[in-house]
Amino acid sequence: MIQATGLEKTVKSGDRDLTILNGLDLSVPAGEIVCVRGPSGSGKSTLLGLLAGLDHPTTGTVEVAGTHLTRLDEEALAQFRSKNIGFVFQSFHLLPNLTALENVAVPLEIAGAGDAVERARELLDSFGIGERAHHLPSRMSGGEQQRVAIARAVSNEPRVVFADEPTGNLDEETGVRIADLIAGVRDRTGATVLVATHDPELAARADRRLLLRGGRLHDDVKAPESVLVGA
Amino acid sequence: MRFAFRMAFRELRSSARRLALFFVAVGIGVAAIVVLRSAADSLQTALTNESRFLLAADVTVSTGEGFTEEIEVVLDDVASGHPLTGVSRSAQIATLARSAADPIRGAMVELKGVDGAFPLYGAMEVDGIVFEPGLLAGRGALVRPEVRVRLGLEVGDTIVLGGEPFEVRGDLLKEPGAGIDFFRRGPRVLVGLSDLEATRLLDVPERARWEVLFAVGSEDAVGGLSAGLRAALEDQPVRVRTFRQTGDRLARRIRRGEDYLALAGFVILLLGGIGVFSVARAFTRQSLPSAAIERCLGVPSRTILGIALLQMAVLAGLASVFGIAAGAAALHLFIPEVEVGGLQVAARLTPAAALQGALTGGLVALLSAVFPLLPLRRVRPLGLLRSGDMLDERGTPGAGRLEAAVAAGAVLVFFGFAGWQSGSLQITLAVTGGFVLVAVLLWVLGGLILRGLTPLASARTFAVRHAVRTVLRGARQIRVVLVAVGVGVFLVLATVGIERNVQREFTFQESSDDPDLFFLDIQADQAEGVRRNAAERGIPDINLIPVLQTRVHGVFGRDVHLEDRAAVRRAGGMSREYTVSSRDWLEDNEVVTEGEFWGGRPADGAEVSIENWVQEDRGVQLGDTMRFEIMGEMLDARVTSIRDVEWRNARNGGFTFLFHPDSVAHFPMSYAGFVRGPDDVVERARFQGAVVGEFPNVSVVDLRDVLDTMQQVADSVALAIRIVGLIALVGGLLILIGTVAVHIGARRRETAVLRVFGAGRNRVVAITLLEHSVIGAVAGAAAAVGASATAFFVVREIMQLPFEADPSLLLLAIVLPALGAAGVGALAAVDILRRKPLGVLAD
Repeated sequence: MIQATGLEKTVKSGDRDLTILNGLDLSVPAGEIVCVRGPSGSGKSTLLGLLAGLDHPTTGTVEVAGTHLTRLDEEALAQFRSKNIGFVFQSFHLLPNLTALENVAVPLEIAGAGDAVERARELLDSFGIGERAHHLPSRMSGGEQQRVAIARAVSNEPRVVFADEPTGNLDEETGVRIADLIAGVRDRTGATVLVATHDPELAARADRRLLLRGGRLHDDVKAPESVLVGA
Repeated sequence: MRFAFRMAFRELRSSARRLALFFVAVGIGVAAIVVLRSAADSLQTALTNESRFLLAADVTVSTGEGFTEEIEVVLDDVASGHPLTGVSRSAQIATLARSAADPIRGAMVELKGVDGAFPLYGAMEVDGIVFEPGLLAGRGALVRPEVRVRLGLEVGDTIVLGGEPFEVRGDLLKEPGAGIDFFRRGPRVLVGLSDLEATRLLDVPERARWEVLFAVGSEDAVGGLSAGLRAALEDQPVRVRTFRQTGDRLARRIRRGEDYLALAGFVILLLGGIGVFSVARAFTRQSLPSAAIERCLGVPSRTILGIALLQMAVLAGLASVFGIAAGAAALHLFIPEVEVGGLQVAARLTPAAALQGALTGGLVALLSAVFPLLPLRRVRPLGLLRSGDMLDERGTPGAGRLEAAVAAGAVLVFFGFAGWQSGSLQITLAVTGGFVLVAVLLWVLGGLILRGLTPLASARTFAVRHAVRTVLRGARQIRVVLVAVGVGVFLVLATVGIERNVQREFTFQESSDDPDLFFLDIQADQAEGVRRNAAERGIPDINLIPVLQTRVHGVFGRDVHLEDRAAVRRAGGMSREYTVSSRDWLEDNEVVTEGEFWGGRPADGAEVSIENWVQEDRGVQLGDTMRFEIMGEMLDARVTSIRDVEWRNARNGGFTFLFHPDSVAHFPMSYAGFVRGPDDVVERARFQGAVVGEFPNVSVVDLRDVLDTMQQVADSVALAIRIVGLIALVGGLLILIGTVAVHIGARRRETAVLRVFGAGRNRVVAITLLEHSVIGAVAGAAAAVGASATAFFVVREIMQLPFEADPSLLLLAIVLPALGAAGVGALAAVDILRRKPLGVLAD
């Protein structure tokens, strides 16, 4: 489902070039849940951005669901994301002036779905926050906001869902519930899930765990429990 | 305290970009004030010079009966008690000039004799030569070119004036002290005063006019001198005039121009204040997280507010310096020199203007910033956990009262200060009232219009649906934006609306067929001949109007009682000779404001209709009786109507006094003809020569030089008006950009989210454009209503000018803010699209 080859990302940092990803390779089969771990600033968010078609690599190629993202222009990438990609952020990034229902409906509306609101309502119900459908984000707890964000990410039934530290802003108990939801995305939609996280609870639910260090991915040999101990 | 300073500088360092708009708003505001103040000072000087140019002096004393010994003693007495910088004497009389070589050729001229000190202000302009008093010595004469052409003379030839020969020494192109006199009896011929006295022309009583001119240099001394002269000469048949009270319409127009400048200064302050308010509001919102962190770390809320105010103060100081430099540069680049009254007036930066700019900029910036910054006192440390609840809404006891008190105080000080700057209480109250009304109107109307947009929230197109939904959900914020943009549009629109109407007052020769040549004393049996002469030169039918010469010899009224001619002279304002007419219809440029015009009905005793200034300035009311001297007879006429005469459209003449035809039927009337003469000087002279040659009794008044002088003054004032209008427009544009840019800052993150979920470029651009053009159009529509009402009130009630609504301006008021806001939105969209969504979200 995801095939990244020789990914390199270099950015300007003051006078010098800073290499964040350095010849990274990754292959993720469809339906797999992959967890990427790594110290802060190691490039996890950058990697997710490149794989989601939100940014272009300096060199290397990215292929998602058979489409070479590196060959697409901005418009084509937007269209591709609209149909194939869902994204969950650490800070939720819900649109503050839209209700929970409207936030979930936005990707469906962008894709031109006629029944956007109905489908969004079903999703909210199934995520257990149907009663908050007409609330603005500012009136919801962090856990509720993140559930809305996950519902939004899966609303257009994407083939890949990316989650960038989805439990990073939540307390432990809420984090466990959100981890369940993220893991449940595959069961619900069959999507491939790529998660960048420090959260052992979430990491434990992954099929494969990778460690990003020195701009490359390595197999994460530590068990989830030891991740917690070593963190 | 040291902590507050340290923190203020640290935060300034990191938020320089955010505060760039604040810097620009204050800087531009200060620059505008510096430019306006300097330009206004220069214009004031120029207008003062222009007024002095019209009089050629600060104060004049004139009489039609010659200065008696008694008057001379008084003049000497009063003058010796004041610091005079110059004294001059002149005399003038309408007389026939002839060519010495061809005595058959004659022309009526206004002959003026001046002494060596003339003029006290302004400069004479003589074709090809520099004027110096020696040019007139030994019977030298300077003549208007049309006199030369009409008499067939060349420079060096001899002209006969009052039976005495004078040598033509040059063409007189421009002369100070000519005033504005529509009924001048002929073109000017200037000679030495002693030579004029030698001709004995001045011995003819009532036809000549003598004048003593005084210069005192400072404006303060003018009042003292004129008051002293008026008091001492109260019983004498003299008229005392100052350059400030020239009494003609031009002086009133100039004062209106000054009123407009005061208004514009006030408006610019308001515009700057709104700009600063918008930026400070955005700054507060963006500073909330930092403030919450500082609160967590134990910083008192008072210190947090102090840090923010310190930042604003430092920035305002720096911006003021920038503004003064920018203002000086703008003055140098755009308004280098203006020619007024033959003088080159340079608009240069003065220390007073710089100081005023800095003080005003600083004060306005702080006053406008203090209210939007106050919420920083209510920041909740817990807000860090939930960004939506950063402010404690229930919070600190008395916070609401304090904010209301600060807001009210700031508004009061602000308007008080701006009012003091404008120097006009009326204008301050009118604009302040309009300002408050429009703000309330915008708030209410904005809410209604936004509610009206609700159906569009379920529109089929996603861009429309999303834009409207965002606008509706952010209604409270949007309404603040609406008020800020709307009030900016209102101020600009009101200023431009007033400008257009004031500008109209200063347009004399817009129409190429306005009359500029008057024929007087045409007898009934000569009318056909005058018409024929005009027709031969392609000039359409001349409208001949019956006229009489008259003087006011008494007023017997409710409020005013002037027993005789001496009392009329003492009261001033109506002592000159008037050319009057009689007819039973109103011209297009006349409107009866009080009473009833007689129309075709027979007269009920002698009836007269007066122009409204006679009522307003001299207190003559409807029903009062006025006594007129006509051809040696006295006529008592009752005032039965009061008219407003629009002099701009005085194609058929304008008359201060208009009689019922029955009332003056027993007087032999002559006719006056008004016509647009040929533009070519020679052709004009030929036309005049042909008429006067055939009918020697007919006088020709060529208004071209009078109109030229008026146009010159009008151009000077119009320039100033255009400049301040432009400054107001730039100010409004800045507010629009600033407010919308601040609004867009909040939208950037949301747009990035939309892009993550697949919204393409076109969609992002469409949403941004739609959202902002809706805000701009709503603000513009509401502002247009308020601005029209305010402009109407200021123009009609305060400046007392006719008001003409301009539908195209109203349309522009809606379209331009919509386009402007959409334009700013488009720029923001480019900025949003330029950056990667993840980069925006990571900020």
